[in-house]
Amino acid sequence: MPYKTVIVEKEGKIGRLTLNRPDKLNAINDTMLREIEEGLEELRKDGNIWLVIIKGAGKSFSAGQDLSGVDTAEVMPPDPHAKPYLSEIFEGAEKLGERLRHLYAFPRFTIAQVHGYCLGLGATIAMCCRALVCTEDAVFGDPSIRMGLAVPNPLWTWRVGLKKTKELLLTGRYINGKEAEQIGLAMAAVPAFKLDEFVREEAEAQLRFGGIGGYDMQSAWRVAHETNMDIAGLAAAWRFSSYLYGQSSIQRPGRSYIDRGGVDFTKIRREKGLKPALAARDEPTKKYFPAPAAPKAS
Amino acid sequence: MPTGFGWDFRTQYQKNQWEAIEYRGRKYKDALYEKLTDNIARITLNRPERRNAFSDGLFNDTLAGFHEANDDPDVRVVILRGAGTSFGSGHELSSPTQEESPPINPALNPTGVDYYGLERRRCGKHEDVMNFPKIAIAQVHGYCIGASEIIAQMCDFVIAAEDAQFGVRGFGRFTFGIANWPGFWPAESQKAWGGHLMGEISGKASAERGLITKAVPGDQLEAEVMKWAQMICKMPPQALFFSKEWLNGITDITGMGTAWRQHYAEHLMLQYVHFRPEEVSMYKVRRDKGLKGFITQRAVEATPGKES
Repeated sequence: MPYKTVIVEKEGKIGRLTLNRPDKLNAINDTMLREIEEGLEELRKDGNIWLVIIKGAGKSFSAGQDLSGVDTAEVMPPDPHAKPYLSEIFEGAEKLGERLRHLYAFPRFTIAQVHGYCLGLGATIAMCCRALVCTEDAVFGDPSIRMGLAVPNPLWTWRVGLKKTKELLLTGRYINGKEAEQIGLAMAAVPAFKLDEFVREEAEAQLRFGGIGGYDMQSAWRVAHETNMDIAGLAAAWRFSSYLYGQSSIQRPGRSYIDRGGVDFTKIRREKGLKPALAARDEPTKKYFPAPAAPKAS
Repeated sequence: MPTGFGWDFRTQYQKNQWEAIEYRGRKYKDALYEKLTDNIARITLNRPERRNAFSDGLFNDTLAGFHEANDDPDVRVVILRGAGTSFGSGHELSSPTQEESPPINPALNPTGVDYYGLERRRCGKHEDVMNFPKIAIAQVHGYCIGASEIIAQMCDFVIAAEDAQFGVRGFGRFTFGIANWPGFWPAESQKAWGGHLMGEISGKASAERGLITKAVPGDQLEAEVMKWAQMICKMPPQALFFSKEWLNGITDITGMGTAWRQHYAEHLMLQYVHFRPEEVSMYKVRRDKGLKGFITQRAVEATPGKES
């Protein structure tokens, strides 16, 4: 199947899905999210693929949802200046939440191989994998809060606990791969030059001993695991985080965040362009939460 | 029936298997029971020639020890340790087929209901350690693999030698389905992998990741465990009991009880797996090469990156 924004490869029992908009730091637009789903579905249908690695082409895993406003109706909430109805906002948020949950429930073993930036929706997609391996200088975070949005990803609290989640999501602070490993966000952080080899070794070990009946036990046990997580609250958490993500995107002119000194991201983007909008988002907090050193090109 | 806290009548919470295992007049053999002080009891897994692999005999003696410790109103803490080189190597894989400790022999061809019942009984012994009304401390050195890791994690405190080795062979430690023990609960933090999908992890690394209570150099292990036991003895025993019950209770709310039931069902699934022709499965190795060939190959391949 021809894809525009992802690359799907098969090597033995390993499937690879590579996010492929390297000139845009693999920013996720509607096309890419749809192709991620289609690519995974193609791999799932192939019974010879026992394990899937998700990674990014170029310098980064993914800088997050595409903020350009083009082809982003499904990955971003509606522009508040377009005066969306509540139904558009909440149906869109719920749909996105369901699609992310579907990625989390992908029935093969998945490894996120993360280098460079892994932010926002990119971090969410990496966290939907069962294991996350990154470079020591990868950069994780979710800056949504700085543009007035909540995060539609409930996995944070389960992965790193309430305190760290608040620290990261309520400030938009970025952390590097090393810290991600320390707090339980990543299974392992390795030097950049070792990443490929490390992930390959782990995948091969998993393929040799981690499956019984190929991937059958993994597949069956995932159902049990998800049931447990759902009892622990994850099912409701997916819905609740979609709901509050939708809620946060209601920006009524005159009585909301963007009119009370908040960053009016879409207005600045429309009037001055994307870069000034990003600067307006990040400048005010830069001195409090400096980003870690930019990851080196690999 | 002593409550274990000084009274002598049957109580509701004693619904477990050790209750039915008699300790009075027992000749302990596969596990030993001793009182270190008035308040501290110690159970020593005692099949060092088998690295304390759990057979029915070892399970029975261990649970009898828990029973005795429960019934003795002076006992406040139970220490669980292994004799010889290791804490334990998991289930005894060469037990006679009639025993319930090892994974059941498919040749017995049980019905699903039979097998589920057996799994429930088998894993119930682990749950009984978690629900033990007094405080249990696992003193871990050497290998602590598979079922032995589960038993250790069931204890309220796990104190290990820095060079102890935790792991689950054949599945990977954090594989869905076998991750439902309290040390990993609720099994989403990536720390629980221990850095490798199929790796085993030292006591030191376990402590650094918060999977166990503490790791100390091997020669200080016994003293450290005694220190913790003595600290616990200074706490009011009823408050300990209610706190433990409370913590286990809130873990139940998040689905632990269901996780146990799923654990039995997951063992059940193992009976119905079809091996794929191209599969390198350690189960298949065991089937084709026998137990010894299986263990030899597994030992070679236990470390990621090593080729067989």
